[in-house]
Amino acid sequence: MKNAILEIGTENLPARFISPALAQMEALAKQMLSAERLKFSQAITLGTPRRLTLILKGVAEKSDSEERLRTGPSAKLFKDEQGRYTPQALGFAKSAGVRPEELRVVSTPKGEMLQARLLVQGEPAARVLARVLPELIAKIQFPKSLEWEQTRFRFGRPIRNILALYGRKVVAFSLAGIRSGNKAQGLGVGAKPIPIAEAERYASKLKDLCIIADIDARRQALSKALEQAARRAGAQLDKDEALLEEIVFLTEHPVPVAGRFDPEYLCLPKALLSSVLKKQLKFFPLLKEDSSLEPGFVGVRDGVSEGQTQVQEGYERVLTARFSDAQFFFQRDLETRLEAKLRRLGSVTFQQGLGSMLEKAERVEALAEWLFREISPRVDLKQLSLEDLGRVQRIARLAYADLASEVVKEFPELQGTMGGVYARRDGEDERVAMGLEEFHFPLSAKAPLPARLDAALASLAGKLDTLAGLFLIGQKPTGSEDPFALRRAAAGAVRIVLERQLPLDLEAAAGRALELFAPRSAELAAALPRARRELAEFLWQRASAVFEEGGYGADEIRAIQGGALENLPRAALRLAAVHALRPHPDFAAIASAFKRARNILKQATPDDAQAGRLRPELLSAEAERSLWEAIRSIKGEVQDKVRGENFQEGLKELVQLKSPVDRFFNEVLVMDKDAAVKNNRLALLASLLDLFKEIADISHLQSGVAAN
Amino acid sequence: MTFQEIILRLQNYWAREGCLLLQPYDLEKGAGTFNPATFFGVLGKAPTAVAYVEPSRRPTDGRYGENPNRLARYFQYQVVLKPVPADVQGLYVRSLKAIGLDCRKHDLRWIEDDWESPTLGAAGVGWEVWLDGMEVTQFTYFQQMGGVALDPISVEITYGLERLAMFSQKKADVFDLDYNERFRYGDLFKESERQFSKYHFEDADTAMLLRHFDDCEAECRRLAEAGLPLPAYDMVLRCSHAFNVLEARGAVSVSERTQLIARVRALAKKVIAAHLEPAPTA
Repeated sequence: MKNAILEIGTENLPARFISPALAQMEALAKQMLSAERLKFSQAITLGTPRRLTLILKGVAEKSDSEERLRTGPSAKLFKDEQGRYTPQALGFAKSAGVRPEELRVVSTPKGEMLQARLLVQGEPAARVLARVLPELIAKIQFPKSLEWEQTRFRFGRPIRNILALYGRKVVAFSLAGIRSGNKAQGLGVGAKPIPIAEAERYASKLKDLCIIADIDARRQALSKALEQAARRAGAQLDKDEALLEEIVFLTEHPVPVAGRFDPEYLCLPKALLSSVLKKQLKFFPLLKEDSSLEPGFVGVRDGVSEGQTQVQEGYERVLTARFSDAQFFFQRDLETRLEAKLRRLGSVTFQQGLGSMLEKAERVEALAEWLFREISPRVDLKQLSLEDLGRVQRIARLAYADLASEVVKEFPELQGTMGGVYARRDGEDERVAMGLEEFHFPLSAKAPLPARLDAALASLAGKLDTLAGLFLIGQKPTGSEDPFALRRAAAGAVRIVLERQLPLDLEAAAGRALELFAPRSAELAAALPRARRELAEFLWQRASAVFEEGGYGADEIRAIQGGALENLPRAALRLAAVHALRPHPDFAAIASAFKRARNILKQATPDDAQAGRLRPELLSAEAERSLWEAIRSIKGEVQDKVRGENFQEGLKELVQLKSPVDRFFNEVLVMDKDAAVKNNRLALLASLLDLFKEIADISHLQSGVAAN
Repeated sequence: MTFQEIILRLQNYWAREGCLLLQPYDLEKGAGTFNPATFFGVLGKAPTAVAYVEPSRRPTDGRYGENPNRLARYFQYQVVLKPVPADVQGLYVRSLKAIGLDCRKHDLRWIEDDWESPTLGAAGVGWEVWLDGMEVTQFTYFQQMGGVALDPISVEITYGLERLAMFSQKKADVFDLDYNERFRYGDLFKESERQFSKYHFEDADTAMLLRHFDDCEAECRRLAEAGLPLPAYDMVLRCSHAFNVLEARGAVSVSERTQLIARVRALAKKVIAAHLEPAPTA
């Protein structure tokens, strides 16, 4: 057994390509070598922007041998009358790679056939690898690939060197005009290649030459060096995880370089300065104790630490140029008020067929008002009073205005944040400014929601308008395609209603949002019924997903679907009640009894079901009378509990039904010959199901243990 | 190192590497890629190795000569190589050395940036090259021109000469650059920046430009059909520049913008088709 190594030396790969490529290399090695019957004990990957490396440990000397059976033509074609092999038999033997005398006759379902039995000998590992490795390289997929040389091979970036060893020997092959060899690519462009004797020595040899090929080791080294650099600068590091991760994949040997900038720029908004530092230059901001910005940064260079001061000065000059650009944009923006910026959105399209962003802003303002009027009579006045309406509308109206600002055009990620900044400069109410900052929340699936109710209502209106518009023009998400991030918008809407405990009918609100588009065109008006149906279904899917993430089982969620969108906070309480009572020992039995009742009612003909009212005098059997008594005795209790939204207590009453229900199904035949008796029993079952329907339809619950 | 010395050294370096040194093409264009030596040169099988300085006009980037980093006209140094030498990154790094920049003492970064020119129907895969954080070069493996897949592939190296000079001279304002020992960049071009910004943003006759666009478009089609792709291509450049000025003038709405770009792209494709057509046997 020996170790094998493959290093694909490339020109600089984009950071985002590297991890997925390495994962594919490992999977492909396992799959392709197992198909070749070449055993190995472990696959390890390492990588930098300039090398994708696969190390295979404990590779067998040879692949396993294998017996291969091949069935050929009918046995009638074996030999002719003279006992000579027929041309067909000879041809088959030749193609199967055996001598004709080695052919055998076997019986198969199709009759007697000729069979060749071939023993495929194991092959030396180096030969298998020489065949597999180039194929493996060719199979790696990238988000985007290119051609660069005569053979028109495609890869994520040009390949310039290939190291391939089995033990100490080169695994020889050619690919994309390159012959494999025993040297790894050097550090940086133009560096001398590094001779590698054996896979085991690869990582340490590279490390001696300042290449940290191991990704985790590089991440740790970078993280530590950044902290040190910040400490030396006497500040805290704003350790942005996404930026750190990107730099791990942009460097072979990360070296921090700290620098300063003119404190005069600190008069610009912190978010703007941070965007310049992080997004434009990939620098880490430094923070003071109070987490305001320190006039300094830590950049990361790749390679060795020669000429650090020169690099630092270079960084500082570029940063100054970028800050002065940002300042120019910011000052241009301060020349107009948000209202004026909003008017400019008249020439910015929201979506083809859905008008401008200005029209969107006006619709969102109207919808926010509608939402406010829906909710305000039903919530505590401490939360919301009529004077808040003006503010909710103001937030909704101005929420998109910063799209017309120079800063947001240059830094799209600052949408919302800049709206808040400009609102303060315009002298808007501070609460409006805060609302604008939070309007686009949540920025990702689990990110925070608007913290304030006024902002939450405006934000909800914005999301519903986006959903309504795109559903109307048939742009609902399909499969993994969701170019307008509608899933996030819908989940955001659901979360706002849930977490703010809004007593709002979300389906009706979505309907209102759709209606606001109708006057635009006859097509949109005609699309209304379809969009209404699809959007309600979509919102319910998102609500289910939110509940599932909260740890609820899919069947529990189905049990509370009835009426859920009409009042999501209440639906959440109902769901919690179902979930809490689920482990009760009697619960599963009752649930299956309910399912049985539901099935019986489903099978009943319309004529049977029409027997709506229960007539107590017709209850003849003891078992049905006691069930009716049991239902009657808890009915008032259950209704009280439902009225008080004490769903768990309400549902607990169910347990009292366990024995009467069991007894009923054991002793009573529902489908009695006497139609009146039968109908009466169906009515009894219907009243049983009705009893809890405002809490949950527990007949949906699967038997077995609840998901936690 | 002065601006003109940088140009001289790059010329010498690439001449030694076997490049044909061409002169700028005498029509306005947005980038060196529009020079016919690149536009036509990357098509077909014939090897090419050319280098040239190209003045590039970006009307919307003008700032009346008042912004230290933005210009309506600036200079690119453009190198096009087909086929691509295996050591092309090394060739580039040594060219920086030739203008006094030793990459070992700087932070040289290759940041993913796939270049596209919607008006030329051109696309490539490559990087922005950052030198101590400053973007100094666009490095692109061309994959397509005028919508045609290229074979063999060419590499295009586009140096931003002002950026390199600012880096080399440690200047924060482009107008402070030493063009040579006697003149600063501002002495030579600040007034032109002011006048052209005023023209592009305030003065340009949009009706005339739209007419000009229509005329050149018609002429381009006529010439392409007459088997004269080279003069037809001049008309593409004229349309492209007219469009750029119209855009700076604010005379183009979002949907018109898309349409005008599509019209120029259609012309570029037509010119390429005419160019690739086998010459009629007389």
